[in-house]
Amino acid sequence: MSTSLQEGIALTLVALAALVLVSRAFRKLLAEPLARWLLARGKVKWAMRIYPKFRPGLRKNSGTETDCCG
Amino acid sequence: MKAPISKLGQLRKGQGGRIVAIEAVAHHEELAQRLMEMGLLEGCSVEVIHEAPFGRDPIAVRVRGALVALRRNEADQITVELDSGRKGA
Amino acid sequence: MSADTPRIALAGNPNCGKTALFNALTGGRQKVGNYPGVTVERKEGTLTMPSGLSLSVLDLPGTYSLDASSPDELITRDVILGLQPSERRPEILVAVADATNLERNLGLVLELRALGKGVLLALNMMDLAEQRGIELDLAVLSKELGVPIVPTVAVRGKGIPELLKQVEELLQSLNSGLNGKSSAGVSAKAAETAQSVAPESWRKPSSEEIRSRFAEVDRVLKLALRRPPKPALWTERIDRVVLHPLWGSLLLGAVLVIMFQAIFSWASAPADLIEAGVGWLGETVQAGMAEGPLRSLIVDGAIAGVGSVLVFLPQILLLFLFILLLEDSGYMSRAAFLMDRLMSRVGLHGRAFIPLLSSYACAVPGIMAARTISSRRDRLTTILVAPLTTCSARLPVYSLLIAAFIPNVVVVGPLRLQGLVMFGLYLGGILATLVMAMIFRKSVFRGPKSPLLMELPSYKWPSVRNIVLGLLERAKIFVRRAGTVILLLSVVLWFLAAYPKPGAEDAVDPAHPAITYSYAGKIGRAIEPLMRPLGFDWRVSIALIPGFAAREVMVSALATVYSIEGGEDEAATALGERLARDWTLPVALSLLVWYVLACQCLSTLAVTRRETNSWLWPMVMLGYMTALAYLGSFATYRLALWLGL
Repeated sequence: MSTSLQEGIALTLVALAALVLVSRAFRKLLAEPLARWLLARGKVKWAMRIYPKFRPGLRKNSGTETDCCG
Repeated sequence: MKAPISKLGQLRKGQGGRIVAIEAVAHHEELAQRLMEMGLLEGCSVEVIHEAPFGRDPIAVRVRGALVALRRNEADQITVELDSGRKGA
Repeated sequence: MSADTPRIALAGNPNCGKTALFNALTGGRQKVGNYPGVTVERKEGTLTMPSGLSLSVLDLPGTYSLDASSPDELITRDVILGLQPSERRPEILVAVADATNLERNLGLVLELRALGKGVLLALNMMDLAEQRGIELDLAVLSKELGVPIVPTVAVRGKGIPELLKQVEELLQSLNSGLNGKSSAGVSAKAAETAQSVAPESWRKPSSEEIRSRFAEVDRVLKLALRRPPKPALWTERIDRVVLHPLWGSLLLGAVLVIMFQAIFSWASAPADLIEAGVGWLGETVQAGMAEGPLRSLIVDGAIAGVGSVLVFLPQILLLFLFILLLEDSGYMSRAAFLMDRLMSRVGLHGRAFIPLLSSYACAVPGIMAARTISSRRDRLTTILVAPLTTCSARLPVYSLLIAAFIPNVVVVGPLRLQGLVMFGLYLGGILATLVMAMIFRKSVFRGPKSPLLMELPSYKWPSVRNIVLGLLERAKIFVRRAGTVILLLSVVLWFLAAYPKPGAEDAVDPAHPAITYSYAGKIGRAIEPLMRPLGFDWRVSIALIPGFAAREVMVSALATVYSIEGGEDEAATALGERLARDWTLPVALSLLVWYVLACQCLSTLAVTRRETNSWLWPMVMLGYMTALAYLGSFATYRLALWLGL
């Protein structure tokens, strides 16, 4: 494998990792308060979009996520 | 002869008796109910089984078949008619 | 699972064997999660009934009554009443009662029955009850209580088929519109007192109602109980030692010493094995790939980063093994009883002992364990000081620095200086915890002590199944974390340390290694002035940044920063030597103190936010701990310099 190909794959992986980290941090820390804020301002659709737990009738996701650490 | 009356919090290890009253001190209404739910009810017999080290507080009492730990301070809400036959430890 | 799968919920007093029953019903088919917003543990499982119908089972937190005081009791009440958002009200309530202690356990059963249809009583621990000579007329008990009864021995799986049969019958009678309780021959008195309360109209019972509830228990038991159980002789005998003022205290001390000793010594063999495996994997990849950025990413970033954390799996599992054993056997509440006086000196609740002990593994489960504390002030104090206890993620940093800087000389007898310093760091953590707890209780959370009211359950042999399931759950969580967050962080960190590469005009020599020109190098230099007073140079500063996300990453970050190549094992020793050459003793001491006190764990902050449902407390935690760490490190550094170390 050439160095430039390696570099391309490596940087893609890094970008993916960074993306996943940011989205995890958002979901874990910011999504709920932000969705509450949006709800309070009447923007229900947006609130439901960023925080699916607010979606009515969706039982699959009702607080059953297991990742207590991280 | 009337049986001596005491607060549960004043009893020593080995002493016991029958609960005659649970006082719901104004801000401790909630606590009185908690005590009752743990089985500390009027008419039930109660006995101090253990005292913790360091100042003999908290205590563990046997009541309604269970061993319940509480601090002497809280136990003082409970009035007990002492068993006459039993001696202090 | 479809939305119309019938659901049963298990409710009962703490220590009634509810979780054992849940495990017996669902086996490994369970999901442990959290209720949204409050992070009370939510355990749900599925099972297939003999008829082929699938059933979902919910294990509710133990409670003595529906009149809830702590967050987890509140969940139990709200789920039972159907008030919990995002949670469908269970069709059937299985009231679980400890057959050896019906006098107290039946109180909650009566409360549940009053909610109306679909209640079933599982009389658990029947074997223990029989051993204690209890004679019970189940037909009379069932008639007087007005609910079907199934005797069970959950730890041995006895009575489970019968329980499922009853559930199925009850479901059928509910579906056909029949009221469950009017079917059997219910005594007139029971029918009269069982005026069913619609869940929506539930209200807090008055003291009078509690009294009459237990009067009803006494009435029923007078009819159904032919011979009450003999006292639990073994429990009394054991307690004579365990709760003895002198022997009990000594025993508690011995238990803790053995526990920590075991965690350190027993874990080393499997930890070495994992380390060797990681090293082998790294070397294999190293040998099998052409040199280049991708290989470096995989070996130096991913494998080294994840591996340095996975090594702690044995220690964490051992710690949880001890905690589960102590809890399952009934010793944990005794420990809380013995410790209450000391804990209350600094304003902590006796129950805080359990969360704080758990925090030695990891502050995350410790903070979650604080849910059992009902007073808000006590709970917040416990949560805020929990991260000060020495969690296992600090160990790699301690080990690295102690091995590098502290000579392993004999002090007295078998005591060596390295071990003493390690002990001192743990002691420092305990002191900081106690002092901060006292400060919090005297300032922000000033107020009266909250009452201690706690059952000391009878001793039981821990159930192997419960322990194994509990450990598997912990292992799963830990490995998943290593495979996600830690992996991602390692990858990003590798990039920051490797890019941008030095330009053609940049001099790369031993004084200016390639990393100086990277983002990490730039960031490190930027914050260096801030950390200079503590003795930390730019390299330490860089390693501290990913260390803020998770402490243990600091070691692999330092390794990356010092650009050391080779296997994990070799890297660790080489890193130690490198540090010993590069740093002075005051720097190492200062960094150790920093690690005792600083809040360097995103997970802790995240779980604090979820547990307290506010951003304020994680921020307070981060703020006070960082300030404490800065002051502590500064003082240590200056003192060490002044002493001429």
